[in-house]
Order: sequence, then structure tokens, then C-alpha cells
Amino acid sequence: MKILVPVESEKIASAQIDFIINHKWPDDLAFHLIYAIEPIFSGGSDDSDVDLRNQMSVWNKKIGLKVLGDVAHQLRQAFQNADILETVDTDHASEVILDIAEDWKADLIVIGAHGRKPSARVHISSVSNAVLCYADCAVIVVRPAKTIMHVQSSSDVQNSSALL
Amino acid sequence: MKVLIAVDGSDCSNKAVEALAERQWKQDDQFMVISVVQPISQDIGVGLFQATGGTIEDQQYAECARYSGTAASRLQSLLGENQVEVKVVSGLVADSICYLAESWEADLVVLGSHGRKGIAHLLLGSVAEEVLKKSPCSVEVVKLKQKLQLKESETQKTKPSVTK
Repeated sequence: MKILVPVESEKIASAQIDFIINHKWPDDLAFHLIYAIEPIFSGGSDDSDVDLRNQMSVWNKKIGLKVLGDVAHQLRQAFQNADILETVDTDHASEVILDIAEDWKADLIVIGAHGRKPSARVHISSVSNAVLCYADCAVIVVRPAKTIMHVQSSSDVQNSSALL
Repeated sequence: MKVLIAVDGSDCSNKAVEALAERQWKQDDQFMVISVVQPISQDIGVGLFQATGGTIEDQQYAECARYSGTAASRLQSLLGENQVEVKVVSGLVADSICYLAESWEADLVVLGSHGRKGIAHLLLGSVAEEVLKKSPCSVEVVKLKQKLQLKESETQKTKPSVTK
């Protein structure tokens, strides 16, 4: 079974990993982890910020490789026989995900959701929405578990009070 | 894991049932098959005539009970040991699914979706979209045109290298 896992950040990825690890999968399991870097829009006026954009691109790729490396490590520990591919690509996330899903013939896409708080749940990200609409395979939108929500919200409060 | 699957008797919800049954599950994973009877407004149309409205609602309830029962027995026959419950509820479809997901403490809500082409592809379906926004847990959208996976046991039968 081929499972595509678009990863956006460590926080959201932890919910995706929890979901995947808690699920039973067939033995012939393959994961394709994707980290998409949105292209930086230059404005089209001049090239004075080329160096800055290149630096940001390199920086983003480093972050992407680190995040994917961490996720891959956790998946390898849980599924020792699984094949794990990692892709960091610079393009619009939905296009990267849908292209790879089609080319790689994914059976399932496990995508993370932002909505940890009730107010944020009203919005599905444009990436999730595009993937849900256009993907040919099944899509699971993973929400963090409620216990995680509680811990995060309380730590958010602590962080905010520390800042004050 | 608690999996709630919403059915409406359509091909795509039948496909979602088949897709779930094809996948591997832990023995203690529980399933609930639900269908929702949407109440007829008493203000307009046939709802004005309470006798007619009531009769239609009764028919709807019987129909929902029939196809949710069929889906549940299909799921039970394919899954074997897992616990499968059936429930017919009345209310707004997306709200009822999310309410039941919350009260039953579901880990995953599964919905079927048409994998339409062209402009209709942009529409995920109002129920699926609403559930994705409001669901307390992860949501899986199964596409009508996705290929079903063979169960591991069946796959092994088709692979000579494994059966040797």
C-alpha cells in the first residue's frame, strides 16, 4: 500500500504520525513524505532581492529536509520493513502533492489539518481542499487528538503569559 | 480505533464501505455505520401537510435503516471479528455526523465522495465539506473511482514469490 504523507510542520506531522502508527497497515507498505516549499514571489520588478530569495530557499530546504528526516525516522521505527521516500520540492503545495500522488500511484493521502481550536476548524486550508477535490485516491484529513489540543492550548496560555 | 462511516445508499458510500473492508484493522477497532434522516420542513412544500410529511419521513427512516443495515452487514461479513454497530439518526446530515462522532468519541469519520471530472471536480460535496469543517476527529474521504486494494491475504495468493 502506498501512502503519501504531505508534511507541513513538526506540530501537524506529529498528529499524522500518531494516526499512522495507531492504524494497522498491510506488510507491503511504502510511504512518500513530501515537504513543499511555496515559491517566493519577487513582485517581478527587479532582481535586487535574488540573493535573499536564494538564501531563503536554501534555508527552507534545510528545514524541509530536517522535518522529513524526523518524520521518516519515527516511521522507520514503527514500520521497519516499509519503504520510505522523501521529497522536498519548491512549488505550490497542492500541485506537488497531486502530481506525486498521480505519478507515484498513491493509494492514500494522509494530510494534516490546522484546526486545533474550534475557531480554526471553520477553515480547511486551501491545500487540503485542493487535494480533497482533485486527488483520485482516498484522503484522510488528520486532526490532532483532543488531549493534544488541551495540552497545546494550555501551553499556549503559559507561553503568552510568559511573554507578558 | 473507533471508525464512524456515514452512508446514504449511493454508489460512493457503498464504495467507502468496500474500501474500509478491504483495509486491515486491529481486532479491537470498532465501527459504526450511520445514516441520517433529514427532517422535512413543516413550513413549506409537503411538510405543510403533516400526514404526508410524516409518511415521507417514515419512508425515509425505513429506507435509511435498510441501506445502513445492508452496509453494516456487508462490513461485518468482510471484517469478521470487529464490532459493527448501526444507527439511524434524524437531523441535519453534517451536524448529526459530527455530533455522533463527538458523543461516540470516534477517531475517524469516513465519507464517500464522487470523484467527478471537470468543473464538478471543484465541488467536494456540501456534506463532506461541512463535516471536514466541523468534525472533532480525523476525516477520510473515499473517492468513487479509486481502485480497491486487495487484502494482504489475497495479495499473497496472487504473488508466487510470497506463497513459495
